[in-house]
Amino acid sequence: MTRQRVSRPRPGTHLLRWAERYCGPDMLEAVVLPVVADLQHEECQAHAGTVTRLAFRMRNYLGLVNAMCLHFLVGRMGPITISKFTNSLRWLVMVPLAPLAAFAAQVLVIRLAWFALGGLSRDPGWTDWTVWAAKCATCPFMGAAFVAVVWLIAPTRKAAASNMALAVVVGWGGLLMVGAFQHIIEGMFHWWGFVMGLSGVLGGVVTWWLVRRSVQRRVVAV
Amino acid sequence: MLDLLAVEGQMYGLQLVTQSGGRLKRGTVYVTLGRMQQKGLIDADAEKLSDDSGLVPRRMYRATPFGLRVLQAWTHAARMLAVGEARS
Repeated sequence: MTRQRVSRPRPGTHLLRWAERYCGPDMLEAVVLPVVADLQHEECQAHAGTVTRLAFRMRNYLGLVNAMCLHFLVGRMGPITISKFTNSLRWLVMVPLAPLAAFAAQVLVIRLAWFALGGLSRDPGWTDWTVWAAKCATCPFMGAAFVAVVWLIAPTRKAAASNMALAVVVGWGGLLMVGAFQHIIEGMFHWWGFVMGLSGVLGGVVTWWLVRRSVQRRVVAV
Repeated sequence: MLDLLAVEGQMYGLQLVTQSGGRLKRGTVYVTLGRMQQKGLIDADAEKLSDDSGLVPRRMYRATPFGLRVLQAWTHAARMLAVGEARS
């Protein structure tokens, strides 16, 4: 007795029918047909298991939704308007995200330090120096996160944006360093504050130098 | 894209995405290819498949002579800019 194979429709067949009914010929030709063709060929060539096939489909369907939105927007607004809109959005998002990234870096490093030093947080007698040392350890990462996020999010003029970010980090570190001298008349110098400011500035400067170097390398490569 | 097409000759969209090493995305490649086709930089043909395959033919893209000239001009301009940047 031979088992009859049930022929399944090719992946994307239903999607194609839906698109033929609801999408314009332009969208169908430019976006849907190429994506469905890719999906079918990718699945046929892979001979993969169910999970991998599902992953292929998910990736292609997400790509299709993205492409359809983009195609629609380009048709309505034109690429230059979209580009202006997304650029403005990125500049706007950068302002809260950069300090947030610095804050996230601080929290992460403090947690890691506590985890690495083992049980410090449970010990009520932990001395001041451990807290200050942990704070000093966070500062370079905060400076680095601030500069790196500004660099990554800035859509254009990345060099100028990273200069501005470095200026902010230097200003913040400078304030901490100047604050260390606050009680110098009374013979007290806040070493920890000074080290915090200095390490923050160093973190920012190193990141700034790394991103600038990457740009120069890219320019030379071209 | 033009660079890849100039080197490889003929490619389909997903091939461009994989060979670009992450610079091109699935969601944007076809819209960009469509616009480049409108501008006459590239040309597209449907892939030839056997009739019984039942698959939707992929679209094979290739650079037009005009596209290749644009690529040459762009590469030259980028090189000049890099030289200027290195001098300053």
